Amino acid sequence: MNELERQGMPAVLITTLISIPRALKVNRVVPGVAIPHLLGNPTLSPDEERALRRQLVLQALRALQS
Amino acid sequence: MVLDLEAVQVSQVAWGDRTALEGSTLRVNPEELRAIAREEPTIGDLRVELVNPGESARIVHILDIVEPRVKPDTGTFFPGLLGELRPCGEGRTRVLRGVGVTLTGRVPGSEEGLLDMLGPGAELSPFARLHHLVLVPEPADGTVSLAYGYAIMRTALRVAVHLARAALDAPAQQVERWGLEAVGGGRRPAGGRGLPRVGYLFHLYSHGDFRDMFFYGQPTRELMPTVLHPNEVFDGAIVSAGYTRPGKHPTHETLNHPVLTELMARDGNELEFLGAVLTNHHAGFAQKERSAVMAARVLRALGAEGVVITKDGGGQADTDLMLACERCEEAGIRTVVMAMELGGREGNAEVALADSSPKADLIVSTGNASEYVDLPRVDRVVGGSEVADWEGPADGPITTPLVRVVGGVSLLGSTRLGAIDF
Repeated sequence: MNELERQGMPAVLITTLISIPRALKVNRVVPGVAIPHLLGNPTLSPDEERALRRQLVLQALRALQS
Repeated sequence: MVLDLEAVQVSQVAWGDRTALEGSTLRVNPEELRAIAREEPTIGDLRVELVNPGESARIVHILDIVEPRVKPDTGTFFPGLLGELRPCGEGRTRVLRGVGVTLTGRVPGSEEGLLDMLGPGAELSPFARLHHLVLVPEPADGTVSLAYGYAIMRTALRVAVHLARAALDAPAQQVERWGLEAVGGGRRPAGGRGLPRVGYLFHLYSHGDFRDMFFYGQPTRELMPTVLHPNEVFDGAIVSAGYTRPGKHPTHETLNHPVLTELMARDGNELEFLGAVLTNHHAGFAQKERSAVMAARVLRALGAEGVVITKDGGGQADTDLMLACERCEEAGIRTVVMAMELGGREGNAEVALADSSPKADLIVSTGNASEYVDLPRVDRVVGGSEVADWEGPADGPITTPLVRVVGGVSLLGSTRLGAIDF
């Protein structure tokens, strides 16, 4: 992550374990849902899950522009 | 609270017409074990194989190893799963030493766990010294469902209890008495004996189906930190079904919990042992943060001045270690962290733990899981016909990360490897 940004390419990390990139001073981090299902949530309906995924990806794209 | 573990040593296991203990020889009728599996409609067939220490054999696809134990007064064990859900940890418990009921199979996401019974692989694992009754189940309709996963777990536990019943009338070679009065020191005035007051924070792997440990028969994925008496662990309150994590932590090891037995043995002379706090490795980050806060709070309520913290998984578990360490240190509780490392093939990786904290200044390594070991050819393979993620034949020489040798690295410290300064 840090190497990509050093070379001028903005990068965003979606992860559950946000303490690890925080310690490594990663710039752009979006918290995911949970370790076994980073971008999904099996307790939601398929429509709700699609909306959740969309929201996470849009948040990541917004982070790239920050 | 007093628990007597009555140990009966088995030196030989052989097939017989009925399951019985003759001297120190355990005779086993495999048909009795297959009949136990027929109680579960999702299990189609169960093969039973016997593997002895020193045999040129490799057991593959290991999911769990269970030590046979039984309560003589009820004839059962594992409360909440087989026995009635009542508090355990008191009275008598029969233990069949030297025997492992070894469940094999593949379930969704399961990581390879193997064990060589002869040669350098056997040297690495304490489980190579056991006589293994290897259970090889097949699903009735060919599908590995969650119901089937639970059925094979229950079957392994039932087989273990069945074998232990054979030792009910045998003389015990050794009786271990575990007598910690109560969690938190019971009647003792705080610091009354001038010894440091020490607790133990016990993390369980708990990420959902096929990736859970069971506490009194229930999955621990939603567990909040709770108070645990060490005797409950020796008496079957915790069962492993966490098949997907690297570094198996078999039920056999939990029943003989190395950190709890060492802390109990030092209670009253080197330290005052306050008991354990049970917590989990939650799948979500906010829940991990909450668990660390609550664990430190419970330890503080017990009066702990120091705590030993262990983990139950690979990289993600390091986050819980560090969060718990920080919250405890902030509450004035000194910490020792025990951790299996992911230190790279040569042991020289830049980071050996996925997470870190400046407050974690006392760390005990229980081994490098990502080191590789070479295992020679064997005469016999039991539990499956291939080794997962390995293209060569299962009986041939193989090269494998140490973490796949069951017992090769221990999350709780009962490993055969150590380090010395020289």
